[in-house]
Amino acid sequence: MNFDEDILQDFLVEAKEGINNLEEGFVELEKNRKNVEVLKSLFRTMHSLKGASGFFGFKTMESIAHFSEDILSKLRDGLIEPEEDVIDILLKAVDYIKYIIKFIEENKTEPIEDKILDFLVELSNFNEVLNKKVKEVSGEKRFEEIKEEIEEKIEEESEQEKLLVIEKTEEKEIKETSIELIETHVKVDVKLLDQLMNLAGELVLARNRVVQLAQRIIDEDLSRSVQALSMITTEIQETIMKTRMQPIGTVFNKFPRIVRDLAKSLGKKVNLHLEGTETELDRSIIEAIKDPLTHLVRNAIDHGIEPPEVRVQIGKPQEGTLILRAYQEGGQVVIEVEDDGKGIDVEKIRQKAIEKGLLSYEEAISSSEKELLSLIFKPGFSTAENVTQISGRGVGMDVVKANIEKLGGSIELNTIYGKGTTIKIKIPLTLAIIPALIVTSGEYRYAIPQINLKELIIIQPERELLKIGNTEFYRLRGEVIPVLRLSEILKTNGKKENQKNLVILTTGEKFVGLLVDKIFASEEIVVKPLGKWFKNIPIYSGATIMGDGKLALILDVVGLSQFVGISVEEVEKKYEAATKVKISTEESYFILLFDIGKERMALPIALISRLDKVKANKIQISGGKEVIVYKNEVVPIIRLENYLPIEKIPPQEEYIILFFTEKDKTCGILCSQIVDTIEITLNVEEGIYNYPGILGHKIIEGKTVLFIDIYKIIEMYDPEWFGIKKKEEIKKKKILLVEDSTFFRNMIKNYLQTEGYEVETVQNGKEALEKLAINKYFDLIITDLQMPEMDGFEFIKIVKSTPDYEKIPIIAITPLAEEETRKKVLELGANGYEVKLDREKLITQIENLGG
Amino acid sequence: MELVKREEGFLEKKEEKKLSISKSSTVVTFYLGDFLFGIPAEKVMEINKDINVTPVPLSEDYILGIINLRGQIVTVINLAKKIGLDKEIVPKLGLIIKKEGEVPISFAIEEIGEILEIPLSRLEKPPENIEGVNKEYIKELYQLPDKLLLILDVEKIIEF
Repeated sequence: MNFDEDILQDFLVEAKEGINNLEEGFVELEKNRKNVEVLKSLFRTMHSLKGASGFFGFKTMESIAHFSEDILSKLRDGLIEPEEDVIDILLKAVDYIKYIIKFIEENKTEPIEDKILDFLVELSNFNEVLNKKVKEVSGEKRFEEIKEEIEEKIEEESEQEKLLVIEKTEEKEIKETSIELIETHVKVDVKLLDQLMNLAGELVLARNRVVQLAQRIIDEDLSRSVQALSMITTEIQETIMKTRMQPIGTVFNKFPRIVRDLAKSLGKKVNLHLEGTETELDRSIIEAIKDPLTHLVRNAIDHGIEPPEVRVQIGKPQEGTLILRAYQEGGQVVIEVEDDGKGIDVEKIRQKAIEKGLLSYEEAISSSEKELLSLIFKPGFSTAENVTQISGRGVGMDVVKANIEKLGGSIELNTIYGKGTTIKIKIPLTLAIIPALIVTSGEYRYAIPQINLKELIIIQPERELLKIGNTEFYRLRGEVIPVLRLSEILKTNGKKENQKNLVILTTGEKFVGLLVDKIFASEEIVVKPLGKWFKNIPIYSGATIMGDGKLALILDVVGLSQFVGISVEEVEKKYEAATKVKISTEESYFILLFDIGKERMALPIALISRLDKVKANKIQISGGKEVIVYKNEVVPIIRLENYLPIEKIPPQEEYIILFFTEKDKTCGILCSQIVDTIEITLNVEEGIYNYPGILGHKIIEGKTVLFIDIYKIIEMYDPEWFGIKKKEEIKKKKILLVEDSTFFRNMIKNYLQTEGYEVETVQNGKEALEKLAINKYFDLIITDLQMPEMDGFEFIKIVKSTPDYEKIPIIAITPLAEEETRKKVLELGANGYEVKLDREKLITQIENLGG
Repeated sequence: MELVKREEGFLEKKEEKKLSISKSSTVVTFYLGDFLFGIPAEKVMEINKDINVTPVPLSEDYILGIINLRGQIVTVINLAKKIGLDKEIVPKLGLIIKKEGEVPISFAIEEIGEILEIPLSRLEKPPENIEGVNKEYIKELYQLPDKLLLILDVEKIIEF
């Protein structure tokens, strides 16, 4: 969009507003024809329309506005009476202006039509007649004087560009008791508003100080007035904030035009829906999101939505749908750009990432879909044109992301290949004053923006954190979250044993745990910038002045999360060379590597509840079984060598125990030592170690690693462990398991069989459909989502739209619980959604659906 | 607008004055260890006794931290460290330095000295080597009867 078009767009927006005012005004006038205030307002509006259309050279419109203005001025000055015919012709004029505006919006030029010219002549003549009438009634001198005066006044005002319209607060003299269309808005310099905002910030700080001081003195009167001061301050702050708020519609309304133009030039058909245009945002943010949004919309049309002929071929409606949606969620505004275009082919990103050298081959094939999609936001990726053409999106996405993050927001991309893409932007309502959680490290306070806060947990670090390699992890409902210690990041050497408060933070993309000394209440803080000396420290986004006048640094969660990135990358780098894996679309997992004698074993960390060292002499024999007493609990110890064809664990002074907990029952697996943790995909090789309890093997760092099936081992140790019902009681149910990862396919199959189900397995959606075509009598389908050939989304959709299979319940399984994915699969018709590693929940879900 | 104009006028007048009266400069002096330093008075906004500095972990070692100066976040520079003084200094005062159109910054110093009027003609270029101080931050020298005054290059110090 060029500069002129921008102005034109502004003109159109303003003109439409004007028309609304006119229409409302005339309705008001019907009720009271002598209402001078309404007439004044109508005159002003018409005058502005005249001026603006004259500026653009829209002669016809200018003329219509001119004559209408003339008539209105006579009405206002009481020179003529608001007879039926006068109102009629003015309403007609409004209709024509409306028509012209619409035409200009579509064609950028005025319409040249006979009927408009005819009306113009009619209007002009009508005005002449009125003028004659006026002359007969009174001298023209008085009228001219007044007119000039008013015009001068108006011109002054219209000159002040870039002013913001705010609600008028001052009281207006009400001359007439009847309903009035008074001027409810005045224009105020934005600078003045900014200044007010700053002052309000200072006032909040001063108030906080007074409140603290007043707490030292017990005086009822004092505390009452402080309370009043406090309330008024809050109200002032909120009110001033409101003056800066503008509906997002001011940005959204620019898009119909952009979309129409772009679609036309690309030969595409796009239907734009605007939702939530009334959602309000701070004006500085409104300004700042304009460009990123334009970029996203352009991308969606350019690369997302297919040409009409292609859409028809693949059974989509000819017209693509693009939705711009805004809504408030907590203290944030969410903006979504959703298209029903072709989506993004993650596999192509993977290939391109390798070609571009952004990822090594090993990295690329072990990357998850989310990781690959995040590459779109990398600078190197976006500039590569050919990537854009193939992958779908990417030009300047790094810039978009940077801009959004600068605003303290986050951006998220969701796509279903073939179905469309949704980009979700979350931004704070306002930049200047934000709610934040105050935490401490050592003697100093730090503020964490509420927007990044997920939840607060009190933990026992020594028991509940897994430290493997350099990274600590916390298990939160099946999800493994890396944990940072604030004191370590800040290198302030806080006392470790004090740190029990875990703050779970979100960057919008990932979760990070932050262990802090203390947590205080949430507070409204005023964000102040830090000097240039701190610009390259990523973990701060500013500072704030606390109630006692002392300072607190504001933590930048995205910056903090980079500290996790470094250590995970380090671990990955270490194993990069040695890790050889097959191409797979499977997500990567954190795997714990441990030794039993000379054998190396592996388990997903998420399956282990904790690990600890135990002295050999603490292992006791009780009831013929080895047990240890751990934290006042008797925990049976399992030696893998009793169930697997491996050598006996050599005697050691001290062993490592891996604890495994399910349904309040805990057992421990004895091992010689922990090797490390790595993040890899779980596509293991089968065949060589075909033995119950082993799911497969993989060469890692030049060593064969056995992936053990912990459920099978425990079952071998104690068949009653999981409280399995007697098999005769269960009617045999048949389950179809669709899963490409050997590890999960075998593990889930094993534990389902243990539960008494009959399980058939296939490796992807396509194979599953082939299986169903032969035999459709399955009681339940469990499907992974990320699979080659045909993914789970497509598979669910097909099953649910095929009459033969639609009644078979489907449970979708993924590595991590994600609300977005849950919504997506349930929308597609799936009956349940579970996390792969959560055996207990999956079984409950199966029972619910099967029973 | 009016205020700005007045200020500009004021500045002009000041410069004129400087030129007419035997070309001298007013210098605020202060101590760091055994050294006596000077900063042109027009660059100094105030002397701040608030040494309640909030440290900013991970920042450069010559940054002491930040303070709250009437609602502004002011960075405090450990001047001794910055100019390579090899002696450990305990900062007791903050010399608030004006910055054109920006938030001021603070230099942590030990003790404030006299305010001197120095004739420009008696200022000397610093020698190749000054023991115990990084020479690049010293702009000029002035020989006092009993001591050497080192005039600091403020721009150089606050340049990032």
